Amino acid sequence: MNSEKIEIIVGSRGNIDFKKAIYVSEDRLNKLLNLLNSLFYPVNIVDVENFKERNRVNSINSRYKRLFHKEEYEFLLNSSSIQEAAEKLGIPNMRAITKMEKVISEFMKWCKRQGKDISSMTDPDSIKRFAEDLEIIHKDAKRYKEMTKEENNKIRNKLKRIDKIIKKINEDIDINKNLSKENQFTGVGRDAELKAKSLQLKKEDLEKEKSNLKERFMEIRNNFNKIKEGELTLNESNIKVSKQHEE
Amino acid sequence: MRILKHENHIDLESPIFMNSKQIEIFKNGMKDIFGDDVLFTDVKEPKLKGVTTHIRYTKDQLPLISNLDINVEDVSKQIGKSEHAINLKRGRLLKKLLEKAKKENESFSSDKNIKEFVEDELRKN
Repeated sequence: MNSEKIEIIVGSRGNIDFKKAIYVSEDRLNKLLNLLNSLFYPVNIVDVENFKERNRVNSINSRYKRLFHKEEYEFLLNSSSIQEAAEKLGIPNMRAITKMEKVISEFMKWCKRQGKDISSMTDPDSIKRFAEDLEIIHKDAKRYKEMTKEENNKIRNKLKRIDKIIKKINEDIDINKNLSKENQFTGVGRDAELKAKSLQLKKEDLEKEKSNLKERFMEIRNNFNKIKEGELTLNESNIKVSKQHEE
Repeated sequence: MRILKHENHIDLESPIFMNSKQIEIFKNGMKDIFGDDVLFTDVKEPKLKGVTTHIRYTKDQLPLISNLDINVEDVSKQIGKSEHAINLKRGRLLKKLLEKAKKENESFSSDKNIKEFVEDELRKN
């Protein structure tokens, strides 16, 4: 028997949380599930390997996320009113409305992609299929973002560095051009002219590299948007996390 | 909601919002299950930024709100209202659209139908 106290945090805005994971016997767990099922829908129990750290209601910045899964998307679309959705899902009314805006918009796009009218897709089976697809889309988008995060950062840093180098090259080109002008028909002038030309070539190479990096950056962004819109799956996108930009 | 379980321990996947009636039922239920082992701690949460929910939109703004091809961010920029306000307006409208599609089996086979429906609803308010 574990005699540790169970601390429940009651936020002033109505958000409820455990202070930390709690010990429960099978009997008490069943009773707790009955209690939650009487208040909310859907309530699912999921076995995990460990409890990950997460922000809780009492954390200083209170920037916790309410996670949504296929069951919640399905319920949002099946609920008879905003009020019902909010109460059963355990979210504030306003959150239910903004979530509906997103989920119903996605649902309409999904129907369109299937070449169907929304009115012919409001049966429970179609809504269930949509909710499953939407969960996959969100997971794919998140995964793609994680996969490309490092490359994106490298591209951004490299672009910044190239801009700095180009700025310096431009200054050096001006200096050498002036030097060449001031020392026309002399060895110093000719050297300066050659130096300016060589710097110009270097600048052109860097501009080309910059353009390639920007192109890749846009490709990643477009892939992400397409995955998020359900127009591309992670498999179809033939994702290559490029190594060529590594430092 | 998801309850995470590892061996004999459980945790909430994310916090749950409850209205005052739900809080009361939840507290009483927890006391019944865990007796004196349960302790409730009230904490102050940061206040939400003021949100005006009843915003009047002009005739010029309505087509932008009803055009679902334009994302909320762009509508917000174009008409100078917060993204949250646009989200709320669209969310309510889309819920009505979905209910109409369910109950009356009304066809929304083209973008034009959807646009007309949303504009009609916006005019009613």
